[in-house]
Amino acid sequence: MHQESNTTWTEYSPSSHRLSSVMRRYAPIGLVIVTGLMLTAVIFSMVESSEWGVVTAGVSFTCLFAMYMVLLLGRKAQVEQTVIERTAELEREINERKQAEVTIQEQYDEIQIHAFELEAANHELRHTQEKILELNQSLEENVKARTVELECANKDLEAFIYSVSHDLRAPLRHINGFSRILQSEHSEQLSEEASRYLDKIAESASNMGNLVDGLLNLSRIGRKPLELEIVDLNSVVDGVKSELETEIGNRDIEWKIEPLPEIECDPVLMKQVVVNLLSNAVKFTRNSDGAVIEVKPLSSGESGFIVKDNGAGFDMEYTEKLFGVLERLHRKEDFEGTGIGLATVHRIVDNHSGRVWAEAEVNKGATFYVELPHLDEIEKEVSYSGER
Amino acid sequence: MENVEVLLVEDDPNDAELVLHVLKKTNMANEVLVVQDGKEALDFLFCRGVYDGRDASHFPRLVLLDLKLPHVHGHEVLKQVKENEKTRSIPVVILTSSDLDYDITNGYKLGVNSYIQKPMEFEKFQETVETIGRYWLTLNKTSAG
Repeated sequence: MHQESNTTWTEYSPSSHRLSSVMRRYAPIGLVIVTGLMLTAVIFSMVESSEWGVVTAGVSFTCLFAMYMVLLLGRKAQVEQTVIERTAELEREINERKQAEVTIQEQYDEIQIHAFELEAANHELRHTQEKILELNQSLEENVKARTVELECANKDLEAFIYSVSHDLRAPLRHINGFSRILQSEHSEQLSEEASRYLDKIAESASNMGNLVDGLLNLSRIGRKPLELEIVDLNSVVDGVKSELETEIGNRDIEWKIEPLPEIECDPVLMKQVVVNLLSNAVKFTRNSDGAVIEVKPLSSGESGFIVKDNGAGFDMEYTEKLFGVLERLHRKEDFEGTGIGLATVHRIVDNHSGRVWAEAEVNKGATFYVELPHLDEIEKEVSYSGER
Repeated sequence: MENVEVLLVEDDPNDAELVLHVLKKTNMANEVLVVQDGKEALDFLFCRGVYDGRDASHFPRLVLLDLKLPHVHGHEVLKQVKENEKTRSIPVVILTSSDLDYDITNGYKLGVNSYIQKPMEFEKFQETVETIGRYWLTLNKTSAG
């Protein structure tokens, strides 16, 4: 800014300025010369008292006067020049200031607009806040009301399950019981056909009983909280295997049970998973020559296990139906079952935050994979929540 | 009435008949009294109502108790039997359709001697009733009177 104003100064400098500066430079020398001449003339006239001396002194005064005049004129021109320059500078400054004022005014206006907008936004925000508060309050009330409703519904459901488990099983037990008594104790009075029909009645009643039990169990899994323990999978598998003895009968099954990892799970529920998978393996290898059932850990580093058989398998096209409730991939005539077993497995594994899936080929066998959260991860989670 | 060996508290006549059938068939108990509600069971055990005047020193060797009973619930019957010093030592086995956790834990809390769920399949039912009878009526010793 300063530099700029200097440049402007030189550019607009008029020629009179140059003149006056020359005058200023050389006038003092002139003055000294003239004063010297004058003194010489005075001294000379006093010594010689000649007329020439008086003339010389007069000329010298005149010159001296003229020199002063020139100096004064030069000074005046310089002052005028300075005045012009200062005026120009002031004008420029005034302009700049005016410009700045305009800018400030504009900015002020803009700020005013922003302030107004801000105020509006603030108002809106306050309004929204009030609304949110209101909504929150009504939400809380709604949640309370819904909780009460759900608690009632839950109680109704409990009551329903109680009465189903009590009342629905009873008539089925009676049908099964009395038809079995008829068969075993009054068979001589029954024709072969009558006996066969009774057999069907008893079997149907017992199937329906199993179905009711399975559905009740399935509904219970979803409502009961998990009771986690560290479980030795091998002992669960061994226990289940010996429980399946009646189903296995005198069949020749080759069991290949590898060392399995310890897993953290609800032991009662995990046993149900193993029961379902192993009894399925036993069931579906019924028609295979040289049945082999393998139980092994998931690939290293994973927490879980694999149950593999060389039985009837299934068509992978229907794999998504496999774990559905009441879904069956085989005809009842070929393999009995309620269609609840794998749904139960799925729900239990899901409740453990795990994953279950299967691979199979028709008449080649099926492999079921159960993956559970790693023991370390569970411990970490537990200790983390413990810290909190 | 004085030599009742088993008191069967069961409101479902079909269930009662199936239990009786098994007990008779296996010669387990000749004297079985079937009562159809909890109040009658208590009346019998405490010699009240229609059972007023029966020999109060005689108790059955086993009470088979259903839970869902008219008038007085099985748990209430159990509670009163186990709270009373005279009747406390009578073995009570709950034989019911229910396998609800509440029913089981409450049963044991009130002092039941055993809790059995009625099996669906008749073969298992038969086996179960026979096992109960054999254990409580032949193996188990009860205090006299």
